[in-house]
Amino acid sequence: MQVIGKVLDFSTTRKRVCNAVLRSLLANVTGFTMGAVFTLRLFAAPVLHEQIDELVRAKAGDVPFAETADDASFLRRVTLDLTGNIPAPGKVNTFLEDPSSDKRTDRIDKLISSNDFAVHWADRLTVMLLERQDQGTVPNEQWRHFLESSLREKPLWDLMVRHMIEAKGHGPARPAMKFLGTANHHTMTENIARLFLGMDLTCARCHDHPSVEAWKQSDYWGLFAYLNQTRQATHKAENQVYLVEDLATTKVEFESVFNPGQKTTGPRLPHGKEVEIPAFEEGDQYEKPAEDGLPAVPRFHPRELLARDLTAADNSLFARNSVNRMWFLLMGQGLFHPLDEMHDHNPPSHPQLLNLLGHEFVAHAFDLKWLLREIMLSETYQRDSRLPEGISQVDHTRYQVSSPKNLTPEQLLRAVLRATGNTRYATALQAEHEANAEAKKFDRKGYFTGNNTDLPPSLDEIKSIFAMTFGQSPGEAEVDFTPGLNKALFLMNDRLIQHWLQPREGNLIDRLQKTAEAKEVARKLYLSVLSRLPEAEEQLAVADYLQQNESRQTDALGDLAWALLNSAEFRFNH
Amino acid sequence: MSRPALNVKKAWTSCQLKHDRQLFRAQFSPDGQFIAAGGQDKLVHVWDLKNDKKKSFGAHKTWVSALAFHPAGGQLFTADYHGVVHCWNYDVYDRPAWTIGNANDDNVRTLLVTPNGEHLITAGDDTIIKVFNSTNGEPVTTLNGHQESVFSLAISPDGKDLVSGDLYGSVRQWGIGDWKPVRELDAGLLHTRKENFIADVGGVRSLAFNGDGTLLAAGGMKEAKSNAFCPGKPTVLVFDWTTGQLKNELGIKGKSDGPFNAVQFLEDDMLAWHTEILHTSSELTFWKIDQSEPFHSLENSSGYDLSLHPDQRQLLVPTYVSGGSSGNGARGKTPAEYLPNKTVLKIFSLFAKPQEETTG
Amino acid sequence: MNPASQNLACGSPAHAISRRQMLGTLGGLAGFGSLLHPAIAKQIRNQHKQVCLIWLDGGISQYESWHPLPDSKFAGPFRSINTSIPGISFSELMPQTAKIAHKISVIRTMATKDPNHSTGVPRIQRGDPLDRGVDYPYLGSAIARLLGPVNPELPPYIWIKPGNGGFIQRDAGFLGAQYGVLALGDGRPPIHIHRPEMISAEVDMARDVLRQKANERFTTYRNTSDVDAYETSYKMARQLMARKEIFDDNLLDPKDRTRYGSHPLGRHMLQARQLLEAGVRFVKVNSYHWDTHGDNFNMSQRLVPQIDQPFAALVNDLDDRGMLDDTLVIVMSEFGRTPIINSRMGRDHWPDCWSIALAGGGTRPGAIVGETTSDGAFVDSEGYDIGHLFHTIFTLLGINPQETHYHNKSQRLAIARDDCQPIREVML
Repeated sequence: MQVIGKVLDFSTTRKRVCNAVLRSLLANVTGFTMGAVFTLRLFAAPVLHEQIDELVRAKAGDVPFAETADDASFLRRVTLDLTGNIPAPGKVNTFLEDPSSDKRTDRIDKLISSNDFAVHWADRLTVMLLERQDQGTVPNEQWRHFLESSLREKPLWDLMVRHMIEAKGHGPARPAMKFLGTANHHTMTENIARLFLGMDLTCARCHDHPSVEAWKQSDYWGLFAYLNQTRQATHKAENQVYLVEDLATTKVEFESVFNPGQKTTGPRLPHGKEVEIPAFEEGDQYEKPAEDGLPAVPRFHPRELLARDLTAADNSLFARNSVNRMWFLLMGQGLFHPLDEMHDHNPPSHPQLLNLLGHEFVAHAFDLKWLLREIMLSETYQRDSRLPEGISQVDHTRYQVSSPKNLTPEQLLRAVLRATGNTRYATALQAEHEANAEAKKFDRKGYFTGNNTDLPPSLDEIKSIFAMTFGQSPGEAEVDFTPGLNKALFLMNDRLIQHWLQPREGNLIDRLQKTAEAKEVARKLYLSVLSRLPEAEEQLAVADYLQQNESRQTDALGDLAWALLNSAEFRFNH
Repeated sequence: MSRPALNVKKAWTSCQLKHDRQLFRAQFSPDGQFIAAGGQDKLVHVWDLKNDKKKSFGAHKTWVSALAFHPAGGQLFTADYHGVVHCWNYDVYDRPAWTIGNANDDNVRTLLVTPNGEHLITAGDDTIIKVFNSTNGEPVTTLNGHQESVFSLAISPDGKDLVSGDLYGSVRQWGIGDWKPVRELDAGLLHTRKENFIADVGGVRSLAFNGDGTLLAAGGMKEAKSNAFCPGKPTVLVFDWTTGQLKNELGIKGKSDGPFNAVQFLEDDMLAWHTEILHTSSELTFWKIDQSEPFHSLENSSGYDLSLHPDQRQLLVPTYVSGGSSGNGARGKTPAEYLPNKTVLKIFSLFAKPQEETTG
Repeated sequence: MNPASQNLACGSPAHAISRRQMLGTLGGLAGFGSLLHPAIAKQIRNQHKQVCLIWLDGGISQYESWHPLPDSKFAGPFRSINTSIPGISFSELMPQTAKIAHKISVIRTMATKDPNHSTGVPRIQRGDPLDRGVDYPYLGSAIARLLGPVNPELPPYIWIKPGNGGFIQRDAGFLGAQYGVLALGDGRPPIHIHRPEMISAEVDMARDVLRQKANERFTTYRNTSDVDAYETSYKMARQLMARKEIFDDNLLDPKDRTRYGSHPLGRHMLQARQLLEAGVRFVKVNSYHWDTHGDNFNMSQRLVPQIDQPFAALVNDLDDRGMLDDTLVIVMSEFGRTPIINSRMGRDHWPDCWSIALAGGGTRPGAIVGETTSDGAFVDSEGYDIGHLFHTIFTLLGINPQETHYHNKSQRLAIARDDCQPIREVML
């Protein structure tokens, strides 16, 4: 501490010294408290994104690293990560030609504060938390509105999660209760453990986890005990469903199928202390009487306690899990992976980094935008996805190279529309559909069986088709890339793709067919679809192909665009 | 002997004959003194109602599918699912008088005797209606035309018209004596084959003429939901026999979802029929033909046949009785405890119970 | 453990053969769902065993099919007929199969626990595994994982069913989506298997060359398994498109179509033969609506011939083609039907004593296994649960359930229940 106290200015040398000290402190001290970190921060003030790089390099050791991604790759990556779409060709051009040295930071800042950020991250969080299910009584639009509003302003993750578990049911945060769905006790327990604590406790319902020593049956039932009084109830006059709690009086009982002998627990967070269920005087247990369909409100609300304690600053499980998931979304792999396997048999690749991120996230009040920004400012994030010269293999956990990430169905659709210049067309289609009072229901199943040979009449319908094809089934975590025959066949042969590759006013093929020179065609094509300029040999290849197909130029342009749309370079976020 | 006034609303169960296996057909003899019944145990059971004696005759090698008394009395014809027909002098001898070994190629589902007693007529899955000499079982002729299993036969009161009904809902009229097809009526509503079915469900399961032969009732069920549970809406189609037009479509108010296995006209064009349902109570329902809804129903377990006593005051229903092991799985029953379901032959008397009259 | 740490060598454009292709499966990350002994895995993959599972959903009535017993107090009205096995009878509703009974085997004493469809069907198709907190794979996904494809150009697990098709991940359970099943709705391939009308075969080839070139460039200095798996999915997609004639039932011999029957189950089983001939490892064929709680006898009369005809045709065809020894055919439901007849003239569910049929793949031809009480209602010898059946199936396919395990994250999982053994009487 004394050493730190002397270092007060922020020159680079000093920063490096600070960081070194900080690193050694972090390496040597376990069970770090938030207070100690906070004190350190005041004096050391190293920037998080630099610390990330330091720790990554330190862990990687003496290995070659890829270069920083070039401007085009960078732009495409951040635009996809932050706004769920590829950059428009014009934007690519502008960015490439921009000489300013802080254009990257600027770009990140602009994207993060855009409305598109809110929409895209509402997508990502929805898929993460609800796994493409639509349960409970809160309509999807309201849930989305809740998320987007938070994401548009200053999204504080602990507050957001707290709202989801508290599920008070009134006010602007009411839609957050959608996370708890129909209030099935076991489902809620398992989801909360998985998604907020990095613990897949499903096994632990019936016995201590067979292979993860740290995960006990009492952990499962301790969580369960916060939730087992919760149920849905309808306020008759309002005609609204609320998640109410009944009176908790006894501990929860459980028994292992391997070791008989009944045990009990009150509400308890993993690694935490058991909460005592208070005993109230008869007649004094309730703070509010029953009202029009809703039961009396007990004085003891365990679920509210869970919401508060789970998201508390000193719950390192929550902090570590949260940053791990956000890291995963940006980096393509978690610091521990799978994302719900945070335990000693599955140690994180960078334990200090994980701790640091957790602590910093807490220190910054769980500000999601702040965290994402810091990660994206790091060299680690901005590294190229191409291997360094002369290197044929890497261990991806060392982050020597950036790992290509899967595009979500939503990202893929937006990207295909923008790449083919059909975004406006699709938006107009949606407006037209909404205005059409006589619109018939679209036979989506028939679309896939071949009975329905029409084109989908709205963007919403197209989104559903993409989600059905490229997304996971409802209830399945959407984490790993799962290529499939049907997905490849879809992108290759679906009539939507063919439709979008027909020339239509202002779209890509239209613009290309009006372009005389092959070189210019190549430039526009690559800027539009792959968000970069073509290499010389690629230009030649385009010219060659057009020449070989002189009699069918427009179709040939479609072929060229199709090839790039179906390429891995388009399909991945690299 | 005067008979009591018909009063369906006061109907009561006047007799119950128990049997420890499932019986699906039961008929009064023309003199009303005997009941014959048959079903799953392959035996032909005859109750003598005068003295409560019951005889059981063995000869069939499979389920008894249909039975009919000779209108002159004394003889009973029974058929089975192997297509065999036996003729019994039931009050005299417990072996068949004669047998048609292969009345129909596949099975016999329905048979009757013409009112003049001359002909025995059978039909079943081979779609061909066979006419035999009722004295000796010699074949007389065949009636071709149906495309699917024939479930039911009926003869007009004047003895001139034979009517047959099949799985597809085709109701065909044939002349008795000349044995020629006359016309076809459409009861296709009683047949269901939805796109995802893998079998046809329903059919014209019962046919009956009213007293003066002006109406024909065809019973079955419509709108079957599946070919698994086969639940549907029990329905009777009433045709104007003169014009051949559909006059009325009748249903029940209750929950039964099986076909109408039997229909009977009572006096004054009242209609009675019985249906079936899974694991719970069914009903015996009564209609007045000119009204839009049934006017009475009696709760009863599932029933598979309906026979009207010659006094027109008693209805006989072979009724399902649970043996105590119904439902899925053995649920703990040992082989010794796991027994077939049973039957009770119920007679419903369609008039007020006698003591009520004396007091009323 | 991190899935991305793959040692994939070389930065040259020729690097297109992924490890997955060698292993013959689509995608598949080492570490998830892998076998305990890779050596055994390699050995197994050299064999050409195939499986055809015919699932009669709802419960075919054993009294009206495999085990008629006309003298039983529970018997229905149908006759029983002699089969080609002396002393053995089937229901008259199975005349074709009766003629070839000597080629098949029947287990008449399946005794399982679950009388419900909703839990019974997935439980049975997963092998009735112990509750380990994970979703076990369905048999087809398990075989796809354990044995891989026969013909690497075709998916190892295809399902022919009425209704809708698609790629169904759920069957794979914890094995992961790539071991899901390609479902052909009413036997039709995925709609996207057809090249768009306006694109000729030459153009399709030409543009695919462009695509491949783009990928070569992209993968020159990038080497993750995800990108490889993506390329592999295209390869498989194109292979499937190139082989789409195996899904085209217009190309089937009309004589075959008559022999199998023009009803859906008949058509689908003929298509199954086509897929087996083309080298699909595991073909499942489903028929629904066998749950005859009502009007069981009229319905059985019409349903049972629908399996009798194509099953006999399939067994004969496989035999004629020399494929029967290596192709295991299974005909089953989730349970049988009650001896007792209910008030709707139907039979309810009966897991207590029911029948399944097997043919080929190393089963003992003509074996009729299991004694029941004389009325057919209860098991009177050894009763077999689904665990026994799965042991039998795996053993017949050359997989030793004692030595082979799945690894799911940190769990080691048996492939079949530890407390069961193979049914030896049905095996050669």
